[in-house]
Amino acid sequence: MANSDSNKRNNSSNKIESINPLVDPFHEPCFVFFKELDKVEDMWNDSASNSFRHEVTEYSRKTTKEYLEAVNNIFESYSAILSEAQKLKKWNAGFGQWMSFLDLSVVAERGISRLFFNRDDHRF
Amino acid sequence: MAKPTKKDAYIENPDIFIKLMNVIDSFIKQNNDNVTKVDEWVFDVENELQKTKELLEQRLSDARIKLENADRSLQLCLDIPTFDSEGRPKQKDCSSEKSARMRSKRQVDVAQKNLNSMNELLRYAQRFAKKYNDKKQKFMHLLDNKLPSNINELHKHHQIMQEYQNLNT
Repeated sequence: MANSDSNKRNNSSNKIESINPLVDPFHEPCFVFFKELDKVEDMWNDSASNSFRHEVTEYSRKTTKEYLEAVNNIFESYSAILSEAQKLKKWNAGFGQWMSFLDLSVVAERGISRLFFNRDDHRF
Repeated sequence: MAKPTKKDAYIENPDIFIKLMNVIDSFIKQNNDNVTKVDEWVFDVENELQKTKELLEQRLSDARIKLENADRSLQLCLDIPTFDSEGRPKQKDCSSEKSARMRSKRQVDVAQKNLNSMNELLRYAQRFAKKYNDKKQKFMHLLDNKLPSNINELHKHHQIMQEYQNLNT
């Protein structure tokens, strides 16, 4: 039992936590790539390796991080927008049903709360 | 033999360049595939949003037609004079036509409001897409230009290393 718990802990520390289906496929290639690049310092040391670390490792890390943040953002914002659009398709859309404010927290955080919170409540 | 210090220039394993080239190459290929998957997902969502917009436009168009018909029915009711049994003009009861017209007007208003909301959602979607595309462009530059150029550099290092090794054998 104790071993099993320990194994679970080890597995979970090796496994990268799932974020969303768009970002997750990038985990493994990025993990392997940067792990290998980080080893360069110990295996290759001259002026060219310094340039490599700066030009490749650092630049790639920054660009990849920014891109993955953008993927995460578009997943969250598009999912929220799609969910709102689905509500507009319903036969009773706009006829007085309340919007699900909790679902919109992600979108609201990104500054489009005005769109939903100012929406008129058409109850006839 | 003493391990080289940080001050010394050294290459621990001559195959490091090959290994790095392979790692970079694999990173490029896998991430190109992943970016394509992201693009497909983005396209699917945008397509779904566009279809929703078209549906809401159709609903607005239908509601307007219904309102026009309700207007005509009401006008017809108001225009046709009615008389009582003694031939005197009688005020006609058009309440059902008025009620139908009011319901149709509400449907037009709601359909218009829903379409406006949809258009606003699409404008926000465009803004998010632009932000994503800016970062994607930079990442694609990394995958398509920068890293392949780095592979070429590593290849040169590898060739120099091989020439050096050949000199020593």
